[in-house]
Amino acid sequence: MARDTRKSEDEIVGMLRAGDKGIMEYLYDHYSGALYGVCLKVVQDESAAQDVLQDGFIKIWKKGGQYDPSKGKLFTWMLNIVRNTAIDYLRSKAVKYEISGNERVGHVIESNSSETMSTDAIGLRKQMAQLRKEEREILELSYFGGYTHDEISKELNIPLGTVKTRARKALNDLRKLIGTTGGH
Amino acid sequence: MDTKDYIGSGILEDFVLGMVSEQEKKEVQCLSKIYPEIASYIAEIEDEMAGAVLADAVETPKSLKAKILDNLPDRDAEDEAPVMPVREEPKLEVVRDEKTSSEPTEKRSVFPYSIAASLVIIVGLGAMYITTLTKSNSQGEQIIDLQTQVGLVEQQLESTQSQVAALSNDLDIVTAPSTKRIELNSVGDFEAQVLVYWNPESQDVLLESINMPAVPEGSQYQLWTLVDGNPVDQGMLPLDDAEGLAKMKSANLADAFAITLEPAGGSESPTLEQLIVLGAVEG
Repeated sequence: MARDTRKSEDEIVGMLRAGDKGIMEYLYDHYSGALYGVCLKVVQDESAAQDVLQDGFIKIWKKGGQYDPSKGKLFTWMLNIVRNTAIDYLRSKAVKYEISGNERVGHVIESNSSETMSTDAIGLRKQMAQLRKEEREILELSYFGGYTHDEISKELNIPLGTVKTRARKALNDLRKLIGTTGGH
Repeated sequence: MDTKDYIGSGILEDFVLGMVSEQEKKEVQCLSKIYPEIASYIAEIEDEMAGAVLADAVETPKSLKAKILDNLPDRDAEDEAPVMPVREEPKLEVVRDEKTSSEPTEKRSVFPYSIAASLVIIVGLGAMYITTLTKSNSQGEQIIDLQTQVGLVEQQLESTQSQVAALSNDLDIVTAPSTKRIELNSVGDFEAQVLVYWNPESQDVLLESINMPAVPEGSQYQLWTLVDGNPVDQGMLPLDDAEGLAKMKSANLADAFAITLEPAGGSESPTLEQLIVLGAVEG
């Protein structure tokens, strides 16, 4: 976050689409911390998170020429690229070591439970910790674990309808929590 | 369309979090272009989520910045920005039932499913048609754009209607009590299977290709019936891998059905060396 010369989203998008590599340093300075936080949260390993972040930045750069602002804000777009890269990593690792779905679910829940969460966590993780356990579990699994609602329903042995209801409830509650403490 | 219900459904939160299917994603992107209130709601959640994620930032190791920035590859030609930003039009897709390529189960529910899917499309298209009309009254500058869409919807509706008519006709034949279902199985050491639905009363013959070897260039599959040991031409199997059922020539008598590989366009009598599948009519 070294620079205070803030560029407008239009400017950033213009440079990214035009293939101006200089914009990548700007994006790194402003967003690498947030994106790294998400990588860590998903893969739970510093060295792997750094590899994932690097892959993510390569994808942001390469896909940047095709980025279409009408389909979503730049940060959301970057966030989803990085998160998907992290989830793909997790999945390939699970395949490589033949980790079963159940073990993987257990891993996500355990490592994200509020007891083990660092106390200085603010923002999304802290807000998630305030949700009810069964709602948090589903949100964690789908957002940080990359599971579909269908997979969660099978792994946790909960009816699909309940998974969907809880996910909706969790998201609504989360928005209220974020709304009251303020994002920016 | 009641955008309040849509906004309240939670799908937009899922969309921002990247937790929707490709189909849902297109739907949200399309609707947000039509309804400004949906677009502004999405922007609101995006800001909130971005704020929350930014607050969770973790400092990256000092060496990582150079490692990442110095190793960015060059963009390939296909990564470059398109010269003209392409404006995406809402796409209407006709949903078709998926063809099972192997291991057909005893009871295949392929037809009612197709019809149900087609009905869903019709209802959906109708709803879109109505919202499209309503919108064109209220927003002048979009009228021409929307009229084009209405035309498109009408065309789609028409083709879907004729598709449903054809499917329900097929369904009538398949479900008729007197219709026989004949399994034609491979006669060689390769996998091949075809289902024939034959109604001796109406003489209708429908054919469903379950799993057939690819056809060599210049050849085509031909269906035959065997009547008292004599082969009778029942027509050519369509060359394109069409979904659903193919309507073949009528048959009033048949002891068995068979398919041979013939030169494109067919033969007067079957090349028995090229017999692929065969199935006897029971009873």
